[in-house]
Amino acid sequence: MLNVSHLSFARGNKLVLKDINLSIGNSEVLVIKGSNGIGKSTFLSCMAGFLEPLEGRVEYFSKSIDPTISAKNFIFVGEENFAYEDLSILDNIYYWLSLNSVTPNQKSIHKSIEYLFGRIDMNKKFHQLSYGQKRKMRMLLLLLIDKPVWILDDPFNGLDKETISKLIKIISMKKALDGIIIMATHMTPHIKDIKVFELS
Amino acid sequence: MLMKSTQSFILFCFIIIASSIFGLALRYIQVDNKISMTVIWILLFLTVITKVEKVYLEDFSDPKIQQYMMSPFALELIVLTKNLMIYLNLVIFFLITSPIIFLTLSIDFDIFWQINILAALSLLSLVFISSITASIANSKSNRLAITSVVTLPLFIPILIFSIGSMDMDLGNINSYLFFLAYFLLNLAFSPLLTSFALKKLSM
Repeated sequence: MLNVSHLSFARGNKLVLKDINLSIGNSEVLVIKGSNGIGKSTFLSCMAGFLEPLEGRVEYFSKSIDPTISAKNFIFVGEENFAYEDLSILDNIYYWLSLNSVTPNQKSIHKSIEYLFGRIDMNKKFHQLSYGQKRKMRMLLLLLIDKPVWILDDPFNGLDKETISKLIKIISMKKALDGIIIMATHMTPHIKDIKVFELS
Repeated sequence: MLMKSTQSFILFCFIIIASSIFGLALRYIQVDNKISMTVIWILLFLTVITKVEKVYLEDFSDPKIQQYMMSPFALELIVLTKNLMIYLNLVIFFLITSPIIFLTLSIDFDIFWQINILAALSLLSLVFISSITASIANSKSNRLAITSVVTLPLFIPILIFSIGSMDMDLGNINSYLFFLAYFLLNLAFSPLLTSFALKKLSM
């Protein structure tokens, strides 16, 4: 259960988020909508614990979010790529898995890459990938690291129709497995019983 | 990630060109070891600043910090590891380039190891202080980039002691104590300050 109560956030003198209240339970998907620049990414950053709110709090099972809680329970997939340009797909995966203290499982790594990319040379350097493939790389984290809460910033941006439907499938599966998914997006994905929160 | 071949080549060229310019400028002046050490220290300082800033700009960009913060390892520990890796990279790099610097500056090879040991000791603190500078310089607010110069005075004691150490007997362990003490001080504060700046200024 994730609770946001009276959350406000200011950047300099500008109030970006004002008195936001919401709660999201297990097996729920929350879609945050709003026009560009309204503060969707800022809101997600506050939820993940990257930004300190001006007022209010974010709680995970009645405990205020701190670095330990977010590291243990959250996966954050932001808008931009975090992979290293000069490392191959496989090396990038190993690097980020080791940083998350996950022992690499060859079989699941190969399966996940094949599921998202189809046939691809896994030793291809990240900078050699196309824009769409680079976007897919971010999604590999969701398949390879097991944490209960997913925070996704514009996850469908830059993906083709086929990958979008695959991602929706992955999100639906996570939902069925008691996961909590929060995402900021302009589209409404075809997932059963989603909550929509409009930032205005 | 830490030392790309192009970057290493650029740094190598920089050291060669800079030491050649110094060598030409000092050609007709009686140069003692202290001046040579000063020139080497300036080269070291510029190399470290360039290197650390480049690594931090790349390895601690916004999306990467987000992932580091989601990792079970503390950001301080990640910063410490990165700094130590940068240090090892630079020590090896300097060891390889130092014979060329010695030749271009016409430094006596009798003090080759003495200068290399002093450079290696200086580098420890230089890297850790530079990481604070880089983390402030890479902040989202451009106004803070100039604030990073507040760390510059922290480099001065290393320069003074590196030059002062040229007179000391390097077989004596006491000659190294300052570098060790200063490094321990940096080791205690630099990862904390660097990760604090990364979290607060780069997100």
